[in-house]
Amino acid sequence: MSGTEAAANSTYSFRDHTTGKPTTTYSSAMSSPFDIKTFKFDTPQFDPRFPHVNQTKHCAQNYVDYHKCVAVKGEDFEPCQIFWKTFTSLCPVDWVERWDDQREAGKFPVKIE
Amino acid sequence: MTWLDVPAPWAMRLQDAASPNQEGIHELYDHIMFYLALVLGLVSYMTIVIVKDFTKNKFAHKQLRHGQTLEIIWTMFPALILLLMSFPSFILLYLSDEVLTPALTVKIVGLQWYWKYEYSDFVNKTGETLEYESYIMPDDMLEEGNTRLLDTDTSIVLPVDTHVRFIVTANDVMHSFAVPSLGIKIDATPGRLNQVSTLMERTGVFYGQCSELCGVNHALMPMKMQCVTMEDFLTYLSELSE
Amino acid sequence: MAIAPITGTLRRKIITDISLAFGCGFIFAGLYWEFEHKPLVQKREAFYAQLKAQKEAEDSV
Repeated sequence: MSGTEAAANSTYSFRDHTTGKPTTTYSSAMSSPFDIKTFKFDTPQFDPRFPHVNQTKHCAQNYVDYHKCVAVKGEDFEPCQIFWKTFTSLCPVDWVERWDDQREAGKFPVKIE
Repeated sequence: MTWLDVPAPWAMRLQDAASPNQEGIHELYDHIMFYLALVLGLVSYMTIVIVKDFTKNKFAHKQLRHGQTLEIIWTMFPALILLLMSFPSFILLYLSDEVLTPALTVKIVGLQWYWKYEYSDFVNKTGETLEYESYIMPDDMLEEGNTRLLDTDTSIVLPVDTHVRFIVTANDVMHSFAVPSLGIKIDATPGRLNQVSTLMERTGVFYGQCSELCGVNHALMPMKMQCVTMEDFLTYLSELSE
Repeated sequence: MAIAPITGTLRRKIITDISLAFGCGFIFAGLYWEFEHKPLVQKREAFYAQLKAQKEAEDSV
């Protein structure tokens, strides 16, 4: 039995490390992108512009770049997606929401157009 | 390896390592302990000899005013010991900071007084990012085998043998994200994203506690991390994205 | 017959004391290394070797 079938057919539960009792139970019905045969990790890689522990500007720069890219090339321009992937993976959801609100109100501190 | 993933009564050493970083810290610890034992032996012997020879001794080396050779020795030797300890320490420090080829990014946000985890590499069925909060398990809800002040209602679930990047930040005051088994401790600062990475080499449950004084409930915001196989991780994600 | 002058007592004392002190230190340190560090490393290596063997056994099924 391969791993996928095992995951698809079984009910999985995490076990407590001392008692061995199940703590949380996840029954699985796999019909999602999370299929082990097709699943691929995809996350922003090392960027030589931001080699430090502090990644704040890595996130912010990509947020600005995405909106500049979209402003020039339009929503459907495929290469803009790399910026989108990067800032969504790095920026906290709260930050993105706040910046989106600021852009809508015309108060975003960086000129997008 | 003594199977020490949680604090235990009379546990003397560091918790067992689950990542190469923490193994490096263990090695460094043992090297430093080697030098400590050396210095302990040396100083104890010297103290005993000095006390024995010079107690009530009116004649011992009465012409001795200063000894240059001795001065040189007892300056150079501690310096050498410090060098021997600092070089492996710096190597480890800079190696631990490297985040080169992460496969997965998990954002960790500290709030008063709980943690929020965002798996933004993935989205749920409505296209929103996968995120959830994690609160401490109250004392009256603990079951046998749970660890008081360490267990939480939800936990960070991560795959084994995968290079994971954490992006750590806070929303109100400073917190600090720490998991001793993985050798991670990094400040969560409002308005700043700190990055740190890990590679878990075995499945298991690892615990940590907020490590920056963040208010009255500083002790009540632990973090719990479950390292699972790849299949289980994907099952968890698909459950989460329902 | 004159007694030979007694010289070098301080030098001799310093040399014996320092070497004995270092000897003591290295004995302590060596004991720590042999009986504390090495068994722990060996336990860890054994665990990961066993884990690797277990994984290979599962993969080959």
